[in-house]
Amino acid sequence: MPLSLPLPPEDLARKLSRPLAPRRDGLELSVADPTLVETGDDPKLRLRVTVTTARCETPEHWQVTIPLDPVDLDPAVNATAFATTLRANLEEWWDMKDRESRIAAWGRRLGPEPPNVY
Amino acid sequence: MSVKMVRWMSRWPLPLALCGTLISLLFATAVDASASVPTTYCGGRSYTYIVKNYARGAVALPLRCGTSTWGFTHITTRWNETFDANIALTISRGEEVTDRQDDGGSAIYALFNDNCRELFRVIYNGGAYRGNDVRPQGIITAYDKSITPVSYATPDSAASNVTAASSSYRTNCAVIQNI
Repeated sequence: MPLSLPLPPEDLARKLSRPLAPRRDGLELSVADPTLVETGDDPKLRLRVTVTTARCETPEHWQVTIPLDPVDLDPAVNATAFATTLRANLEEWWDMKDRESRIAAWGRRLGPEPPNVY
Repeated sequence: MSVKMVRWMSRWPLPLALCGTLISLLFATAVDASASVPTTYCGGRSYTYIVKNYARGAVALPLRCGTSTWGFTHITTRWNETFDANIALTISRGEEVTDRQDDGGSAIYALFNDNCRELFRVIYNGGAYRGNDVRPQGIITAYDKSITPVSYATPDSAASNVTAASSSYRTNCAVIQNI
């Protein structure tokens, strides 16, 4: 049975765009086009993320690919917990991408302008 | 030690020495890697299994085995005795910021130094992960924010940089800046 997201992509994008809590750095992550990428037993969630912070208002555009576990895609998993976990993963990515190579590998900077082709 | 035993040991000096060395190495490895539990603790265990509970007052916040996206499995590469201690300290004494997701459960715990610089962060979900079977989901992730950026620190070198547990810290820093 093919894996699928526990909620529609547009709903997931909306939930992932909401911060878990306000941050001192004013980080805002705007998420679009969540896509499930299946590679055997290693599913991944690919996202387009636009980042702004209080320090840098010029948006940065990133493609972020988060490795998932098949357990996370079990239909019985709560959609809210799924979204909360991934939002935590996204904030962790932003905080740790310059500190851990494993986390840095999740992101690929797309450039200062919104990409024409995703 | 009996005379018989001394005689027996004198007949097998090298194998006994090797066994002794091996046992010492195994014991030392287990102690060094373990923190409260070894990094291999969740091998073969269900993702729902509670590795340990951290206390915040009278409340126990669980760290479950989890998956690659949350829980112990997600933070295994960072796990060592200091990291474990930093989670405990951050949860017990850090600032708590509750969720804005209207899910009633997620919270961030943050530990600061004397200059209100954030040292360590724990992200937690008090809501259910799956139906009502796995409630609370528990710790999603934890990470050290004091590591120098652009180092792409390996887990080992990151461990040497972790100082939150031994630094002075304060709990009255403003976590929230209204957006």
